[in-house]
Amino acid sequence: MMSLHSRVAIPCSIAMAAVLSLTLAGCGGSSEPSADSDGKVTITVLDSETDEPANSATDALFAHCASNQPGVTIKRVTVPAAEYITKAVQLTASGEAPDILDTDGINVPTLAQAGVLAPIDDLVSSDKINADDYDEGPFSAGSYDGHQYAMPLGNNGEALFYNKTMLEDAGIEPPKTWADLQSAAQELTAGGVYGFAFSMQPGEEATWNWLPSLWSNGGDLDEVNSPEAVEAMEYWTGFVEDGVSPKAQLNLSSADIEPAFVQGKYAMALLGTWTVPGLVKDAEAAGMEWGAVPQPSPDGSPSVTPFGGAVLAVGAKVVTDDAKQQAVFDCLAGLQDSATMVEYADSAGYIPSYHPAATDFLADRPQYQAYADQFASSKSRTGVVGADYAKVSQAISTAISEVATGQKSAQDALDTAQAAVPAS
Amino acid sequence: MLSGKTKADLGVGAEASLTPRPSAAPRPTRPRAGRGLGALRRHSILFFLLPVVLYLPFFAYPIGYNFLVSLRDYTLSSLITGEAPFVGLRNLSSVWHDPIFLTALRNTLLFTLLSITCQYVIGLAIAVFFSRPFFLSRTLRSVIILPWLVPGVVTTAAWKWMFNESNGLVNRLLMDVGLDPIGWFSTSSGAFAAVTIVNIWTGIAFTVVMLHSGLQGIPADQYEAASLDGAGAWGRFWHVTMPGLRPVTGIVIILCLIGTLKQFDIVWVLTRGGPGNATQLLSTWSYQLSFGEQAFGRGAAVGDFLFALSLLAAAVYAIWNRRTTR
Repeated sequence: MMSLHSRVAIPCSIAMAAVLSLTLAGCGGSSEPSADSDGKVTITVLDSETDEPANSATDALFAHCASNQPGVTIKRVTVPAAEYITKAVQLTASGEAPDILDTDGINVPTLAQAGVLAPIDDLVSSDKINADDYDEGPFSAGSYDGHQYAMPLGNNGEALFYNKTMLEDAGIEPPKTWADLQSAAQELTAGGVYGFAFSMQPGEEATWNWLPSLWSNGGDLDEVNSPEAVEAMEYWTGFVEDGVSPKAQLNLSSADIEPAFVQGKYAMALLGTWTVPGLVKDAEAAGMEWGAVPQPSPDGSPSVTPFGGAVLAVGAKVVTDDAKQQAVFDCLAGLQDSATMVEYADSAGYIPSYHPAATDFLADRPQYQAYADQFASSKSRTGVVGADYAKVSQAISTAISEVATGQKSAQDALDTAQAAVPAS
Repeated sequence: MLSGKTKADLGVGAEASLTPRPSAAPRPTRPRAGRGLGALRRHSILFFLLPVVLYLPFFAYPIGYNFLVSLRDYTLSSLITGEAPFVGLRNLSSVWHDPIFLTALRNTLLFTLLSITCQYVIGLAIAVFFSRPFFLSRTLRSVIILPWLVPGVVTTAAWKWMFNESNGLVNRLLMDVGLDPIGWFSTSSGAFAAVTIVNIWTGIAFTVVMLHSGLQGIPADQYEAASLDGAGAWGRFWHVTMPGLRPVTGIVIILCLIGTLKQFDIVWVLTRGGPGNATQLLSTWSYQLSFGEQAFGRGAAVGDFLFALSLLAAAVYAIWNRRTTR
């Protein structure tokens, strides 16, 4: 779905060497003309939707491209999310470059820098794709180094879910500020119930859950050891230190937290968009009542959250072939249709990025409203550090668990993490 | 590789087939027999070299390539352009001076030492226990091999549930016997213990199978003789079983050692090297650098260190093996 999934790939740099050598051996492939004499074009899509129902949803999505344009055939190549970047680069190097890259927004700078993507500035200026139809955060996730490389497809994020019964019994309003959340979590922690649970699982999920604290407190990724960042880290790990959040969350994902939240083990929880279909079903079966609000901020103003989700980018070789470029651009522009996007988002676990579709989507699905309220103030994770985001994110994730387990102070841990930030 | 005894056997065989056998014929002179034997030996050596020659490219090429990658600034764009500037030992030195290096090296060594010791001791105890037939012993023995047959990712996912802090089986059992629950993944030592326990458990099946077959190879009359000489159960174990198992022990330990040094999936599924690098091994760090951060050069440099460690272990084994078999 997005980069937060734990997927296991074949280990060790020896395997890597083998991969590299295969790639090099495949170098120098010649580009074939895409359109044959009768005007047929095959568009290759590289995606990472390996699981159902997102896999079928992706099939159905691109089937629209084929049905909108006579003579166009779609060929999908699906790889695990963890191997996406390597595979995209490999295919491009071996002359089998994908035409459309359906990928996590955080991969855009890395892929663009490696030369896998072609800018789609022309498409955007031609008004076939209009930036005004999207929220700024998601749209900027598709840009790198002054060029637009991708259009957002589906958004996701994390919102604060609460157990209605527990909050009502305690007479607590859903939290809006940091202080609200801290005191609510304190009060609700009793008798084996934790007040507030959120994922701190090492990797992208820990970092992505902490970023709203950093950004809403005025910090940013160019200086992760600033006083604002240290304060945000102390706030965030404080929930674990105070015992109002379970220590187990250091190794739980948002998807692991959802069932325990429904069982009443946590009064409040930070849950991802992709857990909502399961939550709705489980809560109904258990007769549990829940509510959801945007994430709290220091002073109650809108929290600045990271944009997560899928984007559609265009392969570098597409622009060298007029017939193919036309077909690919028409395919992307044609997907901007409310019914198409709602159908896709519903089963793939996103909220449509395209505004008209998002409006229709949310009208019938109030459970996603809290996320949608955050998108207007959401930010791209790769905006400041670009292709170095993976490295910086890893360093922050390590810092979070070092502080939460008491190995280091917030200042020390973030000083170490700062070393991963590229000097500007 | 041919021992003195087999040379003699070969000599006899060669002589027999090369020499016509009229009874009146003069005995072939030594030099002639020597020439025939020499040619045969030369050819048989070539024959033994063949698998090595066939195997070498598959073995040496990736390692050599890994080393070359570690000498270059290898990034994603290198894959497309083929250009990776030569940086000499910079990757190796940058990895060496990284604070994570010492942590990962220390973790790798401790993880390996604890794992092979426990795998061997527990595996030996189980193998000895099953060496005497009893009701259902065959069935139980095959059950023990099961962990070895199930993919590591699957068993590790099951362990992850069992180690769950709030509702996992392990902590439940601890509380049932009146102990405090352990923060398996929320403390550095808990996480390290968890990955080590799972690795030991996974490896035991292999050591049991190997040591069990080793036990079958010890002649029963040695035990009888030892009993007649007045040796008790411990005496028989130390003076008959252990020496009899020595060749198998060597191979079990070296295979477990190499298997554990490059262990990856257990740690990756359980902790991803966390919390805060507490379970970071050289293997997980190498993977993270290469595929998480696309720093292929540095990832390969960590791979070099891992390879050097395996090589060192193999060399120690070779020397030990030569000493003990002499």
